[in-house]
Amino acid sequence: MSNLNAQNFSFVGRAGLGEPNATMAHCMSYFEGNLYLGTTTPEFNIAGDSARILMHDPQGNKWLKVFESPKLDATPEVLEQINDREGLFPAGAPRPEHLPRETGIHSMAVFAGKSDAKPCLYAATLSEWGALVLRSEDGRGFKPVCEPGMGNDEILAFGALTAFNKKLFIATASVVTEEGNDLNEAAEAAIYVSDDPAKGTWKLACDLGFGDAQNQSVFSLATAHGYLYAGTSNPDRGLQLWRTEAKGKAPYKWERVLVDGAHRFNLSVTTAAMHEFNGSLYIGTGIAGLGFDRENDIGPSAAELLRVNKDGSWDLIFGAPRITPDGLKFPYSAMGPGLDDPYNSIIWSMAEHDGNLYIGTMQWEPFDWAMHGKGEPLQGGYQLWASSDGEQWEKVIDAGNGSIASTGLRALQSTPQGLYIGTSVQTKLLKAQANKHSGLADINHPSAGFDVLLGAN
Amino acid sequence: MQEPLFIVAPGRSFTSVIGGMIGQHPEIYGLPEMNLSHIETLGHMINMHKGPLEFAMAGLLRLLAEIHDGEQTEAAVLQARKWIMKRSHWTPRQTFNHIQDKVGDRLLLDKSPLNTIRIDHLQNIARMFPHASYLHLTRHPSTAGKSAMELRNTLRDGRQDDSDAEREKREQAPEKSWLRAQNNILEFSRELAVGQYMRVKAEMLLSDPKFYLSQICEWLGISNDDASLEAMMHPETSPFACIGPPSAKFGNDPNFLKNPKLDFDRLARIKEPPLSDGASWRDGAALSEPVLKLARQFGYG
Repeated sequence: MSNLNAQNFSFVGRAGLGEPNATMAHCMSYFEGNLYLGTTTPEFNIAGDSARILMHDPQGNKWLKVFESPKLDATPEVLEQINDREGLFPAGAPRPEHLPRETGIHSMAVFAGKSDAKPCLYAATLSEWGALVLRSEDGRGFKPVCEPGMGNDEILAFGALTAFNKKLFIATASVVTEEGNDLNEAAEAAIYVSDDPAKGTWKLACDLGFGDAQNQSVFSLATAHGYLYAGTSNPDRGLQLWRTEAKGKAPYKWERVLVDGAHRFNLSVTTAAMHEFNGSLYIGTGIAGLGFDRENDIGPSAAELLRVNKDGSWDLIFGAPRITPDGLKFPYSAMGPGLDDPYNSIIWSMAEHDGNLYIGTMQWEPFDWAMHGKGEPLQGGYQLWASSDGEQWEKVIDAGNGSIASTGLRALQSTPQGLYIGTSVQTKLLKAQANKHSGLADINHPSAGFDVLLGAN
Repeated sequence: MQEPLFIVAPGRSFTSVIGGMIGQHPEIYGLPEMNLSHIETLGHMINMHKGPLEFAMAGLLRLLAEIHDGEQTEAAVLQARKWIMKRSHWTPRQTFNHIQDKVGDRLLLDKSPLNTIRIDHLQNIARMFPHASYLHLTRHPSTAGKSAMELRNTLRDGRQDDSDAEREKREQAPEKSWLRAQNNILEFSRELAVGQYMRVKAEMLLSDPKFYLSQICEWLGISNDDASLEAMMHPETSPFACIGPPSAKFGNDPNFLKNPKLDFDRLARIKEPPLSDGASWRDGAALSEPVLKLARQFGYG
């Protein structure tokens, strides 16, 4: 049983912490006694939509902005790039003179490279000028330690920054669209590695797409039982999971562990969150969009939770029972996809805290009500679940903790002070949808921007 | 008593051969095609299936002849027809109950193709048997369509289309039937509890029958010992795996009834062509987008 319940969680940051356009508390890390939070502003159409890194001092319950993206000249090339993808800045419309270099911080990790005198905080960014890895020795100043996009300016985002075997790994990540993250698409499906990121030396750690052109991106990295695991997005066949011991020189030898969406095919299109717990790797799956990947015409689909053991065998924790080349897979939890909730489309975050594994979901039911609810009040919102054995799950928080626009739980971080959870809040989009489709003028949610809660007892 | 197992699939999805195999498990009683999901009473069934549609009665007639008289002679089938007439008020559930009484505690298995033609047929089954199990067999839409066209051409016996529009409609039919049945099954499956529904690619199952049938046994909670699996390799031992008497000849795919023994060489040759190959019976024209979407979801590439 979880040691936490919904009543143990209290808000420590609200409404995007001063930036209502910051809809997503995207990633968290615990560094030198403080929580660090990386934010994302998915719209990136005004100069104020800057990525930030915020530090929370749990003793004084104060937030300190330790990084805000610098502003760069909005070149015609960058504006066209955004316009081509999202239809922003059409011809004749006013165009900003400056744009933030980064609009998102996707991942953070604490790591000591060869040139690092002590563990440093590294952060992976989303940038229209090419994604960067940032480094900070003191948690205050952050500087890039790679070429934009590792020399490929089509790589706009990095994610899944992970330390393993005295090296730092980073995967090229999804892009961000007007609807949110597109989990499937990246300029190249690659993982880069460095044992000395401070010097800016990075190498490819695997063949592009692991040699499979249908792998569109590497969405997740995690370590477990002596391996580095990488999970892919594959809209044609479904996710793949690969692992390596990262011995010798890069690119390393990788072993394929899961294929064809763990034989659920493309309804399990991508890995999302991954975490080691009790010696096994837990893998949450996901699908882009609101349970339905419009770009690739997949879904609707709800998420599954898989478990991979050191010997390479795997279990289905919740999801669709199935007959597979690896034997019959019946969910240990006796729950179907989405924890029996079809709206739980992504297992978006995962953390071990106080002997329990916690998972946070993306739950898109409020959008369904906004579009099809005929004016009825919206329902739904993110969920937080916990398990002490990885098999039996209990719901800790339901329905966005009472915040109807809180559709996702994007980040979880265990700290000595408690479990931090960071949300994705879609007030603006939900209001627009509810008004357009249901004539609902007010969705009864006071603020825009993400929230951060701390669970402690 | 465990409620029945229903194999659900569009036509031409290897339901006869796989149903024949599963039906030979010692703890299962493999029924011929019962076609009871779309009727309210046996009298309703008789009225619906007259003239050219009478073939849909064959499975039930052969079954009743077998369980009542231990043989499927013309005389026994005649008795079965009389038995039905006397019970024209019986519901499908009463009929299933009677069959269950006769075959003992074996799990009933039905694979009637009419079950998936409309979703309300499936929902009728669910009302009869809220805890039934459903095995959804998938087959590649191109090979299923090709098989359907071959069967249709055989049944047309050389008749020509009256017009290009008729030909086009006929050539679109396999895809439309495949898609309609799949959508019915998928929509219906969302109403089921976890564990009631299991989907498997027929091609995969037939590539290693014992391995995959063992998993089906595990799912159903029945023995998967060697003797049980070996019994399932012999669908020809079913009393219904042959052509029946003149007034009830079929009750299953005629090709299967003519040759029910497993041909492992043939099974090994079953292929999954690339979806990009399109519909061979339409000169390789692309399959429709909804068909391609579902095919990818089922694991066809």
